[in-house]
Amino acid sequence: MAAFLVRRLLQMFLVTIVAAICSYSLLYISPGGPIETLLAEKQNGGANRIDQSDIQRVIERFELDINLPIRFSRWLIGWPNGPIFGSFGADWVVGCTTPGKVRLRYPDGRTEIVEEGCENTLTLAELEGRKASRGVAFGDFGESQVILRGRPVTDLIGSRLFYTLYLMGGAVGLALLIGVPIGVYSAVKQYSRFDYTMTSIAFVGSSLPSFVFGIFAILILSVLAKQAGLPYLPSGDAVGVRDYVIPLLGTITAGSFFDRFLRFLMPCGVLTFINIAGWSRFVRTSMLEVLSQDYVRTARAKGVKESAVVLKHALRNSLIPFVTLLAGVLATLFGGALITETVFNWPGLGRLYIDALSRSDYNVANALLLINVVLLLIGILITDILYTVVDPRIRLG
Amino acid sequence: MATTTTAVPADEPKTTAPESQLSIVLRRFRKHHLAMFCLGLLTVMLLLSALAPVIAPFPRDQLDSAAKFLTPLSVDHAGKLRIFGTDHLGRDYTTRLLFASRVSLGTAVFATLIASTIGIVLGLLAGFFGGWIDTIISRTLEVVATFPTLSLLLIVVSIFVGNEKNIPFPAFVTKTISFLFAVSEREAKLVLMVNLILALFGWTTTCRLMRGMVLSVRENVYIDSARALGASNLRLLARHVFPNSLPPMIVDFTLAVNGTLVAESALSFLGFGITDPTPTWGNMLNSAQSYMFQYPWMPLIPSLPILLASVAINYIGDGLRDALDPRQKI
Amino acid sequence: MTSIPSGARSPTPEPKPAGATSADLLRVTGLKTHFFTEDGVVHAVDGVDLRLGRGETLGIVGESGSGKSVTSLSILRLVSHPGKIVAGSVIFDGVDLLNLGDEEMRKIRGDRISMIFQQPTTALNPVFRVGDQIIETLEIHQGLKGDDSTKRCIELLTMVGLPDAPRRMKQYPHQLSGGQCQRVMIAMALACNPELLIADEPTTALDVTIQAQILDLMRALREKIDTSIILITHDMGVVAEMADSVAVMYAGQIIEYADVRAIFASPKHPYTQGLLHSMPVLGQVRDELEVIPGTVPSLINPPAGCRFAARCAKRFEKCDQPPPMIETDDGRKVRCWLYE
Repeated sequence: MAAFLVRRLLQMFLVTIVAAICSYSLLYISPGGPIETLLAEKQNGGANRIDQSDIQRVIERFELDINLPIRFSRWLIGWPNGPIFGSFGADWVVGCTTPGKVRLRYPDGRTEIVEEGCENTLTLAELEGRKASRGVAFGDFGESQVILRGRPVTDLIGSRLFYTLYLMGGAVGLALLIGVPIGVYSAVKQYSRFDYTMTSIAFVGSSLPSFVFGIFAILILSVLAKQAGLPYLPSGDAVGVRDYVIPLLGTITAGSFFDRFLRFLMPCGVLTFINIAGWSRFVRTSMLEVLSQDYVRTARAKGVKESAVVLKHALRNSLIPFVTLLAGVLATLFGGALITETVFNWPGLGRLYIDALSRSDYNVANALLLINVVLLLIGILITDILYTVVDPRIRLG
Repeated sequence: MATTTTAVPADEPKTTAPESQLSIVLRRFRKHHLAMFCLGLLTVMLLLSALAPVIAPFPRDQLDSAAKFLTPLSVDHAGKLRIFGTDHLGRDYTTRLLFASRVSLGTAVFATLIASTIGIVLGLLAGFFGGWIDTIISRTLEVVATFPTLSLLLIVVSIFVGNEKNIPFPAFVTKTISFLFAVSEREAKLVLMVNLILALFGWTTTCRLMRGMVLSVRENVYIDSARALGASNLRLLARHVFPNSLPPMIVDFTLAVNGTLVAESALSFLGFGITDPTPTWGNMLNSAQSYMFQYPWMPLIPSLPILLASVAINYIGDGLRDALDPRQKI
Repeated sequence: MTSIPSGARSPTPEPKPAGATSADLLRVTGLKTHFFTEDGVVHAVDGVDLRLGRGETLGIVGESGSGKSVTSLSILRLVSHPGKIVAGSVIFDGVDLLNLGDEEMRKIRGDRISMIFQQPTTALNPVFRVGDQIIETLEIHQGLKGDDSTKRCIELLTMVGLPDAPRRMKQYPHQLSGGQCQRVMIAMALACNPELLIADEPTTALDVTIQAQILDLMRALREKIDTSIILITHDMGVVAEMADSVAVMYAGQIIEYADVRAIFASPKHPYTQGLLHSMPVLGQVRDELEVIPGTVPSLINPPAGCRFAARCAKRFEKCDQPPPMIETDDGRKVRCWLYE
């Protein structure tokens, strides 16, 4: 067990490093890169001329003047941020502030200026005094660049985390409470009207794209209900800005508990339904498989009550594969449902991620992706350990 | 003391007249009425999208500031019927829906074809040759499995889309894409880019399934005997492994097409992926979302085909699984 | 090594002559169990009559698919969907089991009638300790709790020859071998001293040496706790060792029913003859084993006449009609027109 944990943690560490390298290279050295993106944004924002100081600021912010490995290391662990051994490494060259320019003259008389070599080099000593994060590995993801310019990414995530947790916690909890019993009962009453109805609903439910489902929910419960003068559900955002009146319910004060509750209902309902559809099918399938096993027949043959046959002998076995599904739950609890949060404009981490990507706030996107990967890895580890709890045949080793 | 067994010949209760595998499958599939209905529905959608440039009543991007937000079945100022109305720029909704179905369904099929090809080839290689080939492919699969797919897909798309102009796709490729998806050659690059990215994310399930299939088929004795008879590896792949792995691959392909359809729609809906003016069901829904409180029909119209296509493909996959799975027969 | 088929030389009590009715423990009449599948109705058990006296052992023999397992499951009413008992009666100690309520039937299972299965490794629940699985039976039927049940469990495991019982009962099925699992199954089945034990191919899945041990164990226990046994097998050797009387099943029907000595001495039905000819006999040199040509007919549309006719070397015109169970002059029962 100890050996397993050590090996597993080592593996997780390696995968995280790989993920960090991947996401870093994807986001910070992609074609186009931050300079183009930011310049384009500036231009779109109405600034006609981009002067040298703008470019210089971008270069400094993204440390584009530092060599890639050093840049990555500073991003990952916040090091080096000055000379390494006292003053020993002070004059080591780690980058180039002004690239050298060479004029090429072609035989046909055409000339071209290309960057070649370096005119002004950057040494370790010059890194001292530069603003640098303490490193992603230590939980410092730097500052938000666009969404909340200058604020630490962790603050931004912290302010959204609560909304994601309570939406996902509610949806996942409800789905477990409802979905597992439905799956079990469907399997026990296979071919019954209940089973047929539930399987059909679950089938359609799990082939329904979540955004279509969300839009339908808003159309029916908000838009059409409101137009028809019926009680309706407010859609979008977790908290209202203005008071509003709902038929039969009266005036709802913005920001009140009831206001929050009403706004929570639809996204939570959609997520719950989708999860129920998936999980009840999963539990039903694995329950059916188990119910046809020899040991279930043995239990019946020795006179075990039918309820105990199902709830004790069969359920315990059918939940073994179900444990695998739970690996992803931790990650989704944190990461939220990207699509559902976007549809309902829910201020959680999922929507934050979408916003960060579409507005090129790379630090934020990167932090969320990395946290997501780590949580997924932890989820897998917990699953493996849970497996040994529910299935005595499995040993860690 | 010895007890002797096998006093009785093994049972082989097949006495009915031999029926070809294909006709059994077709007969069973036909029994699945819902799947048949869905097959019909999907065929109609595919036909409409194939004929989009021919039957579309208006040019795809024709703006008409005098005919914005026309409700379905209304007549515009020029006296022309707008079956599904017009959008926020006064473009004909029917026309855009038809072209969108070409792009959306086209992407679903095209990207899945690429992904399945990659998956099948890599799965065959990994399962059949084993050794270091298998190790590399399996490890890659494991690592990919630890990444949150949608998040990563969004990152990759957000980075590459917008840069597709810098990538020198050969002219014949863009021409082919522009023909297949009924888009201009300039838009073709973006469409191709999104297709490639979706394919890059879509091959793992197929690969894992194929590898497993090959391993189990390879266990069968007759492969050993075929090898003993001196059949070459390639011949074994072509004659024995591949045909045996085919039935589950067909089901997998059907479900993968649905996966790609939903993924592409979701990307476009979130504002990534294929963007206006190239219409897809997803980005039509995206732009319609802003107006849904004034014009509820606007999001309804593009979301219906997504819903129908998705449910239909799933039911077809379900029907195929029932028809192809021999365990169903008792 | 003892020889087998030439007669039941096993030390079983003198079998009562077939037809004795005095103290029948079990009487099955006209039992029909059908499976309603997509492709049609499978007549898995199609009119089976059996009787079993107290302390007797009945062997049911047949190839796979002949309906012998379904017959035994029908007696315990354990046939699952899409199977259904459509006709007949199962009188156990004067009560028709098919008319009992579900709850009454459940109380009989594991207590007065118990069953052991073909695959001991899969018949035990993998996620529970074997001791707990035995104790569960004791709790259900005898209300034993705590130390009492543990003590009884150790007693049972020791009785079935599992050494180191206190340690074994804490183990999970996957930690035991196939033979050990079958011993646990037997302990579980005998936990409540059942009046009837149904053993469905109890040795088929085991190694030959283990088979012998399990059979020895079952014989020893039969002496000890005086239970009646229905032994289902496709192995004539096992029948010879264990059974007092034999029912041979073919395509859902019993085609021959006789005392075990009689059937080995002079098999009447051509199928039974084929069965006996196709098994190796120790001490006798034969060039090759005879094989019965052909396969079991489809049970969805069973042949109108004798179901074995298509494979029978002795068939004649009359075989187009279904043969009834014919009682011969020497008191034997055969479903064959040859003995009319």
